[in-house]
Amino acid sequence: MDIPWFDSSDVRPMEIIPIEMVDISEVTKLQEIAKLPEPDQEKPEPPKRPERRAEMPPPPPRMQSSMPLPDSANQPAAKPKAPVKRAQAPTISERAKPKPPSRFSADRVAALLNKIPEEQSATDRLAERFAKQEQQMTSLDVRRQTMSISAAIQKKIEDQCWNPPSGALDAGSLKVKVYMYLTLDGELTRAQVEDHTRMNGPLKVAADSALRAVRMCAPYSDLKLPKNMYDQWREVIMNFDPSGMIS
Amino acid sequence: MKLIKILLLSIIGIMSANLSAHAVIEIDITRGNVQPLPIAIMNLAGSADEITSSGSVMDIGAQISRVITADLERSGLFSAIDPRAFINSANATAAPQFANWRAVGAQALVTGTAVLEEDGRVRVEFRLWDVLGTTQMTGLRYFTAPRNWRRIAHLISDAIYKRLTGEDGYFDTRIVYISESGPYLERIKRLAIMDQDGFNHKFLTDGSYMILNPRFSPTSQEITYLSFYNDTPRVYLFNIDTGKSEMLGEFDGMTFAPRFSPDGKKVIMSKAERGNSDIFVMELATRRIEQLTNHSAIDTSPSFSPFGRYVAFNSDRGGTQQLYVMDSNGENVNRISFGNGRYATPVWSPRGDLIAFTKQTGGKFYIGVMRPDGSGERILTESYFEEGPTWSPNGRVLMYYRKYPYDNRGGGGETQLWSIDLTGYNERQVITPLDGSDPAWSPLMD
Repeated sequence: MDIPWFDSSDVRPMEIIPIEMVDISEVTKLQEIAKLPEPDQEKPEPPKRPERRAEMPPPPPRMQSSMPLPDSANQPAAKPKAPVKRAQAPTISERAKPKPPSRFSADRVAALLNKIPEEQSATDRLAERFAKQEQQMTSLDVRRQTMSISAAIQKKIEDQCWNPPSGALDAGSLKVKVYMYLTLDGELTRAQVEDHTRMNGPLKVAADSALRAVRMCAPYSDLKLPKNMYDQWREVIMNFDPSGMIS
Repeated sequence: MKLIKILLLSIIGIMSANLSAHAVIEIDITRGNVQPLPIAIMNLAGSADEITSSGSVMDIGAQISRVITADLERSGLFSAIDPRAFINSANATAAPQFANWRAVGAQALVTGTAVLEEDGRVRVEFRLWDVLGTTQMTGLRYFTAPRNWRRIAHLISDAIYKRLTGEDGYFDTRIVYISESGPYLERIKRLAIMDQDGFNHKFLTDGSYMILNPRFSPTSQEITYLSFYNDTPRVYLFNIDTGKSEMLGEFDGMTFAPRFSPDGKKVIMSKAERGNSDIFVMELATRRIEQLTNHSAIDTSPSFSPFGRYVAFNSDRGGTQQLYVMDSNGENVNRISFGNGRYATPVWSPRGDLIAFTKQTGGKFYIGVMRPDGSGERILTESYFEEGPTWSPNGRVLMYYRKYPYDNRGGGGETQLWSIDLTGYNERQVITPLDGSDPAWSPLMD
């Protein structure tokens, strides 16, 4: 039997396209450090003098760390990010100290042991007052307030901000734990997922969506979280679990 | 020494107790709103003075951005922000001002450049940014001849899709299908091929004989199909790169419903003889044939599982047309469909989790999916007549064809290609120059 005839005028061999693919993520970051403009229009800074620039420490290794961060716009730019999570959260006890060089300082330990009150700022006194108020609350009150805070944050994230990734294989099993750190004013200082940089594939996408939700919902000042309970909500852990939504 | 150790431990203990003094609220987030991700796609910046055979580099950059936008929007997972809303239209090589992008509602941002190289190629690079996280998510650079800009756009779409969904994309792919024209009784059916977005359309046969059941090889640019050349239905193999075709053996009776094995080395098909139909598999290198079913009922529409261990097919051996799964050597046949109506054209998802099918019941046709064990049946779409589902290579989208009824005035009867997301949303018509049926999705091109 003959082979069927085809209209060869219409059938042209598909072209092999020479494509060289180079992952330029790292290259870009390095290049962009040199190109990066000064902090954006939201937070203009006066032009720095060349001689002053020479005194500045070397640029941070990652581009994003040198970019203007909306969430941290209210923080002093020079404040270094400590690697320890809890140490970075603005705690009342830390604020009460006049910037100790180290948490393990002998002076600080002595202060704790001797319970000698130190000189305090107005903010610290306010925080202490809130703490005292909290102590006066009954444990039932605290539980009620905590549940109310949880419900408010949960409702905002669920109703307004979380767009869970769907369609991935086993998307329903992609659970993510996010650590969120808030200021007394409800500003988001940091949101992070453990091992985020080492994640890949659908799990990384699930983590991305959870982080986007936390960042998109910021600030949380509209929830009017009780300041006397700040110690309860300065750090919030959120477990993003799409199993009930996506089968 | 021991005293110092004890003192140190005590200090650490006190410090730990102090640090963990505050309670931490822990919240379970179990609900959300699944909606398209807002993404801003800037025109890739290029020079209007750099002229190529396909126009200026500036035009190429703008066209690439339009194709990326169309690709991502068509997936239903992204909503592109109207460029007229952009606060920034600055040079794409600069670091984004994230606050401005957040202000227009963007959660992801695509920037990039197109530059004419000295050797005549165009260098295209893009960066995907996380607007809320203020970080770069990915960045890639491509070199190509200027006329291939459309394919570069699809490759970029795939890269963005993969980074934001965690799954491979499906934009750098093609569709073969049957192009139909002419009146009902004199229908001309031609094999045609196009990019998944309908561009670069070509007819592969002239319409002088009927073509049915085109299927893409999962590993190469080859198609198998059923041809009625010389009025004899036979399964053929067609190489798109070379334009050559060959018949897959000479059998007694009629061969039909061909489909490749996952490794592309075999073709599984039905063979009808004396009113009965069974399933056979042919090794392409040796043309050796193995019969998998031997039953007095009609067994047809075979489809391999992604790793080739199992074969799904439909059979009326139980009294009505239903779906079955068997080992790839023909043993352990199990029925998997038990719902009302007739089930046909099972197609195993490339990722293995589902089998798509056509269902007919109550005077209507449906496209649905079920797990390989028959559980979790879900109907995705229904109409007067639709069948022939084919999976996108990432197992996320189904394409099929739909036929409309003829009306009393001699109209109607249109046949169209449609696609739908696995979630049952985002159903869209795939535009073809003429009527279209029996689509088959290619794997991602190399």
